[in-house]
Amino acid sequence: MKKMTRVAQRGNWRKESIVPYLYILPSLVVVISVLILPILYGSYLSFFDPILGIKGMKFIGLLNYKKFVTSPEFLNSLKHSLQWAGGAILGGSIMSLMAAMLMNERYRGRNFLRGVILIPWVISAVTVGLVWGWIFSGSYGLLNNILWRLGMVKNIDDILWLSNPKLVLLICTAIAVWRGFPFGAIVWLATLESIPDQLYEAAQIDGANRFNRFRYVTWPELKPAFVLVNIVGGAAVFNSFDLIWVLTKGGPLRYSEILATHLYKVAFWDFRIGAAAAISVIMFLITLIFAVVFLYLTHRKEA
Amino acid sequence: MRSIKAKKELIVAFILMLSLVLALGGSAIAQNKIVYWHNEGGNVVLFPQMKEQIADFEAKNPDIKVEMVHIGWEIFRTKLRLAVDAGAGPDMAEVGYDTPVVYVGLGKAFCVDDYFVKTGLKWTDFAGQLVDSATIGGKHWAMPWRGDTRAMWLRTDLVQQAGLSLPEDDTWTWEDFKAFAKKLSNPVKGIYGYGFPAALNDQDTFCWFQPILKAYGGDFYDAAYTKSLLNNEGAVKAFEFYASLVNEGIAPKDVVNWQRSDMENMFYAGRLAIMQDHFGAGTAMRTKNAALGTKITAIKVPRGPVKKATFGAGVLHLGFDKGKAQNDITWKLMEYMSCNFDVQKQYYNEKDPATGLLTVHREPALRKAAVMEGDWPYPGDNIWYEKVFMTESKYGEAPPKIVPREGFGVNEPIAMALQKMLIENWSAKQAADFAAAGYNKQLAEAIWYPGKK
Amino acid sequence: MLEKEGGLTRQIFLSSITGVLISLILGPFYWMVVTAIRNVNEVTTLPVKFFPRLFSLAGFRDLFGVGGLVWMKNSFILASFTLLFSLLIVIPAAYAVSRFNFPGSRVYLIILLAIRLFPGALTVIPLYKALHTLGLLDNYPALIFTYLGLSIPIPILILQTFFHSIPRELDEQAMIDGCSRLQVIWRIIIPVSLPGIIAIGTYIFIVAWNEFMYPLIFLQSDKLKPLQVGIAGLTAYYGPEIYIDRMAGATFSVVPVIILFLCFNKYLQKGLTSGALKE
Repeated sequence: MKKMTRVAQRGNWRKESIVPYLYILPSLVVVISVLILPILYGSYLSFFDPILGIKGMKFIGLLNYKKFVTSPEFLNSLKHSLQWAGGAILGGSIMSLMAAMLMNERYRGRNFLRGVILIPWVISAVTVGLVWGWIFSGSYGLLNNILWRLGMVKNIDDILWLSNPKLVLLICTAIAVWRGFPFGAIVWLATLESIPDQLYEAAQIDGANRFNRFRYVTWPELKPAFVLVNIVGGAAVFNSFDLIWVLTKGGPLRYSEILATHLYKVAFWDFRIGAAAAISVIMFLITLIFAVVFLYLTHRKEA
Repeated sequence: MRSIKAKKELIVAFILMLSLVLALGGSAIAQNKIVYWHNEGGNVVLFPQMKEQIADFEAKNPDIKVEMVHIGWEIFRTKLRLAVDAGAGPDMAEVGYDTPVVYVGLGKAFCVDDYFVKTGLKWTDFAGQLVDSATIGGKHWAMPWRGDTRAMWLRTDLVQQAGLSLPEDDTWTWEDFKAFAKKLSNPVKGIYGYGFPAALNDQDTFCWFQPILKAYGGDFYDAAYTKSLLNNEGAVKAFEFYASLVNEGIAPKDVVNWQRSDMENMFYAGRLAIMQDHFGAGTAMRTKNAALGTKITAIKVPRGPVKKATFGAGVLHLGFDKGKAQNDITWKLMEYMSCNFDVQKQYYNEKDPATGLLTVHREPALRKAAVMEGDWPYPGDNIWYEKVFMTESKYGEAPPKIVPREGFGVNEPIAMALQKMLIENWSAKQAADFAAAGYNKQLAEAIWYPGKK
Repeated sequence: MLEKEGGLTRQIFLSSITGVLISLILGPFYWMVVTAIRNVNEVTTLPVKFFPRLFSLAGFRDLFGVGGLVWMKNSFILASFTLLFSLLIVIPAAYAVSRFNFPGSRVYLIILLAIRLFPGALTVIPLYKALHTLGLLDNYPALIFTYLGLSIPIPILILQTFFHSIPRELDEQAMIDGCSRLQVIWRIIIPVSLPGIIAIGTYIFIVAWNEFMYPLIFLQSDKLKPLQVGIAGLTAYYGPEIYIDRMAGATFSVVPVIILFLCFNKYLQKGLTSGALKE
């Protein structure tokens, strides 16, 4: 009996050593052909000066990068991108966690909330932008209508929301949070649900209050998913362009211009592919730095 | 026995050969193809008409098959550019007035002069603004298809409410217009006299600004395309005038976020007394809503101290150079849709018996198909939007490529200049200088060759 | 979870917060649906009416007139096949990462993460050129293949953390009992992590359903358009119909997904409350 299992195990081991590679092979094929190769080619183009529609391009080294980094648009867009992404991550995390913890409790109305929570996330960014854009419209928006009816403003368009330089990015961020928090909420709800009650009971018996229960029981379980969702979600928000494009197109006067909208303009208004590729690479480097820093900060405590 | 079998085999072989010949021969009634990109798939009035016309064309030309592909204006420029770059572009496309020059500059379009000569028509038979946009370097590169002009649309109910009568639109100036619009404004009730798009968009913002600009003597470029005239005296006055519309409460501050649809929306709702728009806009609104039809009317665009200028535009058919054989075939469809008097007249030409105004969306490009003679609804002078790009190379030998901006890019400096006045309170002079700088930059960048700094 | 403490006050507190949250979520949704059935005369009139007096289905009429149903069918096809192939790829991959400590697994995960850090616009043009060269532009299988690139990295990352929390002893026990790896996945891993898989599946379907840029650029013919592309191209010629048409399209695009979600929601709750790991 033992002999057989040992032999069987050895045979299994040899077979087993290529099994993981087989399992990940399809995903590698997809990722390489659809993502990696195009990204490499695109980045390669960033060292040239191609314009869509014209044959021929010349190697210009880092000129695209230099031009962009020294342009006034760069700092402006970068600042806004950071505000936008940072605000969305922060607001989104808080909202997701709160919503997940809320849905984890038992009370009337919880099931209804669980039933509708994903609705904002389900609606496409374009539609979200159109609907909220309308709500916030200065001349005929829902919000201004309510304020006007309540007599809080004299003219219906006294307060401009998306045309107001000071408010525009804030409002866009809030809408992004509205749209994105449900996904985090359900991922964390699933994680919360998988924490056994006994752990909490044990902690309570040990005298831990609510905050400490969260810190020592809930948080460690949440952390992997938290890190993941925030890195990926953060990058997605940083790179996302649909929502702001539909709401303001980066306006007014570039007060809501983020790197992603500027990239779109360079790529599809100017058709300067090389310059656009350079901007993408810069955006990638920024998100990479952010991801590394974030990972470091959240895993440092474990060390 | 053998001979019967042999005969059978012969017969079978013969049948096979015959079917082979027929099959080959059938395809040798060569199916010539025209791939035609258009944007009217959502146009419930025009699209069925187009399909009918093309079916008719195919019936008259059994050896040609037309493949109609709806793209949609919003993505059209990008898709066309991508496709042409990759070699996947169409044979013929419905394009706006500012597109031919781009593809001529890229060397992708074919010249239609030789073909046109054979039609017996003259270029003056067509609406001037369209011929203008098809003319590059003295040659013609596209066929005008449908024309368009602008009107000032008025809410007669709001005019009546204010106790006013319709203005003398044959002689009124922009200043008269401003005074008139002011009397119609009632911001507390949410009603404004006039509104216009001033957001970033494909072209509407600067199209709306253009008549006022020209009326005061401003322009985009000088005749030789050496520099921008957007900051000459007249242009500064035009910027000032535009800003004063908002600052004096005639137009809402929110225009910086307005697209054309927002303006039309407000007009429709009775919150905007006057709007400038395509001639077809009002007729379309009227067609869809008979009650509204009794409350709106069209009057002519005002004139300025320098000249009376309206904005005219339209769409053309651009043929892409795919070699003479294919170009010959593509031309047939272009000719059919543009040079055929009956085709143009048949579909685009109806008058509302009550008002005498045209009830269709767009006017035909072929003037003699138009019902109304004279300069209304066509602009009296064909001054409108000249090509805001370089049209000729300044270089002697093998010219570098010309890369004119189109659409959004052209609109941007004007939209931003207007917004700077309205949001950051820049003076008209500052805004004008800013816009001029933007256009000068485009001029400098328009000539491109690989490696140019 | 712990028993209700503080009884009634807590209940009321939680319920009211939930109420606020629900109205915040449903409010815009309501506005979207209401606009879709609104009469065009009431779109910008003042004061705006929260509950429309005049109804009109013109928006939907326009939508179906230009092919709304065909678009929906297309979206379903694209999203369903993407879901199917994604799961087939993602589950074994996540399993491999969580169970085998094979050399390169770290790098693999990092690549998956890093890929998502790139802005989408960069891949569009090279992909377009490649697809054109291969003659695969108006082609669904090719398009689905590109969707996979968008839909598999994150699920692999998330699912492998789920699988990680399933004890290995379960696998080994089953293999000693004679199961192959694949049977282990099918019989043990999947049922136990079903909530996670359902969440991932939902994510994949929605990503594919809402995908806009790739079909916009890679598809040319009308009949192949998915819903998002079709709706975005709805341009009413002159007039406020543009809002109604767009909202009608948006409503139309959301309803089937919500129906699906409601179906899975019950399953999701059952899966969660059965407390998988307690077994």
